[in-house]
Amino acid sequence: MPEPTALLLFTGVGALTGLLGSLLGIGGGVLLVPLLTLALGVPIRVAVAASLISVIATASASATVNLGRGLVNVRLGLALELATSVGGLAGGVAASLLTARHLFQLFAATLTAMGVLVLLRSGRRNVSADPALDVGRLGGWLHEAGRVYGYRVRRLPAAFAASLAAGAVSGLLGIGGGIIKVPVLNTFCGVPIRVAAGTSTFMIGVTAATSAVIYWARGDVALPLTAAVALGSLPASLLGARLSDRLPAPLLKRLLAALLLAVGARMWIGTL
Amino acid sequence: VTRDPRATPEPSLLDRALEVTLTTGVALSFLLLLAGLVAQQTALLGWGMLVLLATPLFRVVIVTFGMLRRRDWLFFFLSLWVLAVLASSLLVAARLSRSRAAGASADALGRDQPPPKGARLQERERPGPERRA
Repeated sequence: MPEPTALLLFTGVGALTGLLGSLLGIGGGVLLVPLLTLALGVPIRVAVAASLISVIATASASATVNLGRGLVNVRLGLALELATSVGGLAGGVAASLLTARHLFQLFAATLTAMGVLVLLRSGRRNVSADPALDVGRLGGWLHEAGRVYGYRVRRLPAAFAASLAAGAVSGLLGIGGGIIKVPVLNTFCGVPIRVAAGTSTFMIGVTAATSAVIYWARGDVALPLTAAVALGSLPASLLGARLSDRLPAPLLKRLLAALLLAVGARMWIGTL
Repeated sequence: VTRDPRATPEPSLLDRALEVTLTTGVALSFLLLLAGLVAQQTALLGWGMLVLLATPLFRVVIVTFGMLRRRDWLFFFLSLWVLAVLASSLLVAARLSRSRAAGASADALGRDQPPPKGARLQERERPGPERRA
């Protein structure tokens, strides 16, 4: 067992990433892996395994809050899980074929691309207050500040492609894949940011579990470290999910973009 | 009874069932992980992780039953597909576990066998001088 101070540090890191992850619907692995590897010197494969398990904790805890608020589109989540689960399995298996340097570069490129996408399209609004709107089989209704808004899911092939990529990236990099799904669902497919984040956290647990069992079987799960991180992320993610309701959607989008670009830049520097 | 989602923000029965499943899994794993760290018991940590890993699986099982109850066949088969992928992932993990165990026992006996895939990868990632040593 590591020293109690080291375990407390890992718990603190888990709490910070769990809070931001559930606030933005991205799971938190996108911040946890860079923090564990670059700041705390944890080997990337151990960090990826710890992150996947922590992401399951964050996603499951915040999904309990989001389900109660009607922010999870279960049908859409289920349809997209077709792609993410296959991607997650493939990514988990393929992770052993890439070197640590390649994993870092892939991580940095993914973050930068998604950060730019969110920043460029953060001003768009996807919902309609028209009660006669036909939302289709995958669309839904969002109750916000006493009003009801409807949305349709557009460009479904883009959502499937993003989900497949999110699953693969999740298995390779230990992130839930929310950093790909939330921006694509929101900016391309017309899903409101809160529903995109809620549905993404709902799906992330399944995607992460698909690849986490492979890391476990490979012996990459360091039990005390992973347990400490997961313990920190569980209560913090519940808090983050409750806070997300109080922040305005444009602020959430800008916060997400800034975070993606900052961590992406730090990862690029790490690969030089 | 079909609920009009425009009329009320109340969650459906399926949403409630999912909420209970996820809350139970999260609370149980939290308690096991906390007890494992405090008592320094690796077995408890292992059980905590296992419960955490199983929570999303149970969540998919609940969705599958929910869709069956609603007779929503398209989404019922979609959730069965997700369950099948999760099962394949468990099979891949079991095979990897067996090959790791076989590699470890071969090492213990000093047999001249090829290393498992994971071992080759770790070797490739090591810096040059250490590999030569």
